[in-house]
Amino acid sequence: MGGLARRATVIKDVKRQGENALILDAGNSLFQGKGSPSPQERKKAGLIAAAYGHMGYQAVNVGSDDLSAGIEFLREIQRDSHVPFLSANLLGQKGGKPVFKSHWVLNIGGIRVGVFGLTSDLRHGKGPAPEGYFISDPIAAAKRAASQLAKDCDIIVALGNLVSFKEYTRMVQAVEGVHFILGSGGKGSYHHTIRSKDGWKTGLFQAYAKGQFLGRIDLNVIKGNRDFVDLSPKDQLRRQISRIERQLDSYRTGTGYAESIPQDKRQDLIKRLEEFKERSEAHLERLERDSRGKSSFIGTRIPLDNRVREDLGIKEMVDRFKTGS
Amino acid sequence: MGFEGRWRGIKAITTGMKTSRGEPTMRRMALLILVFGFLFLHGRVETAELTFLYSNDTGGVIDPCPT
Repeated sequence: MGGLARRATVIKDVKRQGENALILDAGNSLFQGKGSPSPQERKKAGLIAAAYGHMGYQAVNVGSDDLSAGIEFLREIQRDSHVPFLSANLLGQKGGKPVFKSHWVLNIGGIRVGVFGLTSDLRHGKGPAPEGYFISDPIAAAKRAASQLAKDCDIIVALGNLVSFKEYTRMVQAVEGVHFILGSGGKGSYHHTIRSKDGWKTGLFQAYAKGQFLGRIDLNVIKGNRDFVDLSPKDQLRRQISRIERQLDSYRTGTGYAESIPQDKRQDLIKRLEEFKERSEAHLERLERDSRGKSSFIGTRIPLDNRVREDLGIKEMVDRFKTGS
Repeated sequence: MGFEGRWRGIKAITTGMKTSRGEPTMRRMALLILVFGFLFLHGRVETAELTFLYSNDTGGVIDPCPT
């Protein structure tokens, strides 16, 4: 599963289909964060940044693990790869200016998307920021970035590196106006809508680690409508309903699997399936009703398994790195 | 309004559209188009489709992981 070359293929395919795509990395992409990286690991990080440049990444968050080789190293590979690194709370000194851009506004298909980055101040218990630098409170930084972006953006995306679900929930309670958080720092996968006490909804997404999946969110944006409805269960419900219909057909006609089931038991199963179908249809109807006139999104994860072919250009870069040429 | 009246009305409008002598009708038509055009554009719901592709925690991995 995974691999840079497979990821590049999916990104290329989406772009080729003419989608208005925004390619983002939520952080911890360069190092594993296990101590000081070897010269070979540094070279590999350089290769990753260069590959991101080729793939057309539009923003990369600086995660705490990405700081393993120091700030100067990050600056250097950013310069070479031309990929914008973001962090709103990695500062030159306490109370100083951000080392990298804190946020970035992109106009995609007429929609202004504001993206900001956050670096975890927890550093997984590995101590403070690299010497001479300071990581300020990410939630306070998120508040500042979101209020700045709210003025002229239709959608605000946070590239978070906040490690735990608890921290993301704390962020949503404290910071309104962020539509989506793409997270990093934890081991799992998220697809949740977190509601603030005041009713603001933020979608939290994170794909599994090690690049085995590429996260995808398809948005249908109604300009001026900032209330997003998650339509991800819609496809699942439709598939569920057609599966129930097939089963019902089989029980009613007594064919296939249902042939061996006694008539009275079949009647009982039919009744239960009909109730289940009714409930599923009501759920689908409710979803469609709730989304009418509102912006919506569907979130999925694309498995980068061996059915995804490798992009030749990126594969060549990886092979060259491995052979040292 | 009877059939004849309606026919006269239609004739008047089409005549107005075709000849320069029917200028007042043309002006009214142009005004109507403008009003409807404004209402159409103003009331239109602007939508856009967007796709976010994102990665996270790839941790220096460049090759497929055996799973």
